[in-house]
Amino acid sequence: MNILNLTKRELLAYFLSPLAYVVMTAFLFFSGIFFYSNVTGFKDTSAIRWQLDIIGFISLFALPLITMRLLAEEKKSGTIEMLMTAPVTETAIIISKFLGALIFYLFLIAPTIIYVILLLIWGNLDIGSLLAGYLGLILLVGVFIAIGLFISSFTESQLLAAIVTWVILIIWYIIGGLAGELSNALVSFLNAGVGWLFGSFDAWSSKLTAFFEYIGFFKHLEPFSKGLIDTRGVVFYLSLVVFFLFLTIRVVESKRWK
Amino acid sequence: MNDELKKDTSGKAGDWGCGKKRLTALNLTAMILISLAIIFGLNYLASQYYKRIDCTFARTYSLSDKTKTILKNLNEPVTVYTIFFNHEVIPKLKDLMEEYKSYSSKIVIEELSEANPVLTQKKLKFLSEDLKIDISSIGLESLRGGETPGFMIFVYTNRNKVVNLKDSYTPKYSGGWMPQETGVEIFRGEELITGAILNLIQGKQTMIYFTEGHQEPDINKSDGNGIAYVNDLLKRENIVIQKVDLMKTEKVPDDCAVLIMAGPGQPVKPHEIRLLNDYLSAGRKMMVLVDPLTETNLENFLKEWGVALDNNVVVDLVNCIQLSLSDSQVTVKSKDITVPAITDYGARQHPITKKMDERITTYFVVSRSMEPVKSAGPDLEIVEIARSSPESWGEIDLKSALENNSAPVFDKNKEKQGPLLLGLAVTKKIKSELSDGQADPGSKNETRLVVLGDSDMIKNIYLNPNSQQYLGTNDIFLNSVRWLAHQEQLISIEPKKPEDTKVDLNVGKRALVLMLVSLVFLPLFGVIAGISIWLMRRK
Repeated sequence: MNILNLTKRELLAYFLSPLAYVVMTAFLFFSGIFFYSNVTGFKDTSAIRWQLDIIGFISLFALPLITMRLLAEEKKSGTIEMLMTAPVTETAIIISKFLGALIFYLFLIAPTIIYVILLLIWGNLDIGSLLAGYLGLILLVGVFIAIGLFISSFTESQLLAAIVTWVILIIWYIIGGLAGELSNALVSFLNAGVGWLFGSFDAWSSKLTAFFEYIGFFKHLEPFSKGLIDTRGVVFYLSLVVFFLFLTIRVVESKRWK
Repeated sequence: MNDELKKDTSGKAGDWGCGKKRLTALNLTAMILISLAIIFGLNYLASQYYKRIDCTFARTYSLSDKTKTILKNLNEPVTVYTIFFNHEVIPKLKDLMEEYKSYSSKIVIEELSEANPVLTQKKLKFLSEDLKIDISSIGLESLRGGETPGFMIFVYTNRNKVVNLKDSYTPKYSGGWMPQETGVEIFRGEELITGAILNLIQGKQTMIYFTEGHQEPDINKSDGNGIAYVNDLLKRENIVIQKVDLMKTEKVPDDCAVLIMAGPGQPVKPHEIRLLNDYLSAGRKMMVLVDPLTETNLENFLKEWGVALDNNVVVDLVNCIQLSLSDSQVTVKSKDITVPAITDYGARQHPITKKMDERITTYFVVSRSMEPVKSAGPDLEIVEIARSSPESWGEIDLKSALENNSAPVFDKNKEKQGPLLLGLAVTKKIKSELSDGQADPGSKNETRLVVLGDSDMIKNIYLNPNSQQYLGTNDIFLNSVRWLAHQEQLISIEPKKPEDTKVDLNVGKRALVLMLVSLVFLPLFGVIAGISIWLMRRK
């Protein structure tokens, strides 16, 4: 059983799951509301740029519902033992689960192409910029899936996996969004705590802000949605995907040892 | 003994099992820590050495070749201290600075964020005390958002330059008697930033002299009739401005890179004409802005240099400035036919106008036309830089029409039909001894002359960023000066005008289609797909 077959198995499981269609309907409904209000508000094809940012934000809430079952369900139903005894490596299992979720997500966002078609007919739409935006979105979602998969490897409870993934993604989102406030708070805390010993930490403020912004999810999406492929964003997202997949493989491997 | 051995053996086995677990845990922890370190290292390197690929069709974020060349040749770092207020142009400037930074490691950006006033005050102190920037003279401390989008302070070796970001864009205005700024019409950030870097690395300042003594508008006067804004504009180009009264001197100063005679209101004396002729004959540069209905004595002098001035006022009933006077109840639209709107820049054949297209309008305020004099000499190259529309004509008796309170009428027997020339650029190659290395190094062995048929256009009332006449006048005047001063590289940086991406939802039933597709059909697609699968599985 190679990665391709395992990925097909994952995809089939998704398409046969009723929850996937609930997620799809909710996803398309909310993204539709934002698309409608953006286009009627801006009256501009650049609305699609904001739309991609919004799809990224909605994905933050939708993805844990997709990733929660990846390993938790296998554990609960006992099929994980079958997989572990099959002639496949943990790496192949995890990568196929990741790919399955990512490909399902692509199916999920595929209907949004109709937004693009409408704007293409009605106005002057920059396709190059749009493609960069979709690339950024897919990279971002890759990170969400990798984190969701990692959390799902710890528990048999799908609900718990989803909740923990939400909490992590939201906290991570807040870190990037409130970088300035966080750095100011941290500097104030350091000044009050150990300022008497090390002197003022004010000079750290801008560097800390830049750091928090850098590790935030959405800062790196900005250039993509403007039409720029930024190597910093590519490295950031891909390194996180690899890191969380690596951790997940280790967690699954450790179960084999037990 | 056997029992003891068993106990001992089992004890060892237990220790080994426990040790193996510990070893595995240690191994796992080490792997996680190493992979974390690799990720941090990788991202740190990526943040230091990165590339941005511009996928937009309009290459919105790409730097021009000129900027790239200048950045490649930087020997020392250029530190850019930025002070950004809340303005629509700031994200564009931030993107642009990222582009500069990603292209050259010599560009260092220090953002003096307003979000942290303590740091800003500290940095301001650093700027004023360490870099010796006269902060009070540019009002850096007092200016806040609303008055300007912010500032950039460029520091290169021991030189620095402060740039007001008000000049990084041409505003979009609302209509009405008191037009309000509503957005960014044309983004000129690259022109401004590269210009500042170029000025810094060149070091030597360009000297420009304005003639005086003929009732020219004053370069220091800030009222509507002065041209203090021109003064500001040129200072930002690293140009030093001086005045010269040609009657009090025997020659145009040697350090004069460009001599500008802007709107003489009195005849120029023969002595001055002689000096001007000597000056141009030596391969120097001059700009003349000459108004109609004024005796200037410049006609013969200019004719010798290939430009014949017409005695008329260019009027245009169709393509002229539109004025909208409104109060809370009524709006009166009117037009001034003596202010033709120029969008034809002589097929953009000249460096001055090659980046000016029909989207840029220049308003000539009561102007006269001119003709190239082909007989002036084969070594003269005369290029048109501004042309009125075919509907315009050269009115030779505007005064009587105004006295009779009637609109002027075109007299085809006496008056010239448009298109009429309102600006000419003349080049004359200088041969002989000037090419042997003895000539002024700034002359580049050719005479350059620009003649515009109007000087009012550069007065403060018209040439200021809050005026709708600003854009074209700014371009044609500044580009002329740059060409005359051999700073053409600054002209070749094209300002970026946003693409028209408007969507008109009032056409057909677009609004309805949009609502149905986004709010009904797409969510319904998910529901139908789900029900179909459920039914299939039941079967």
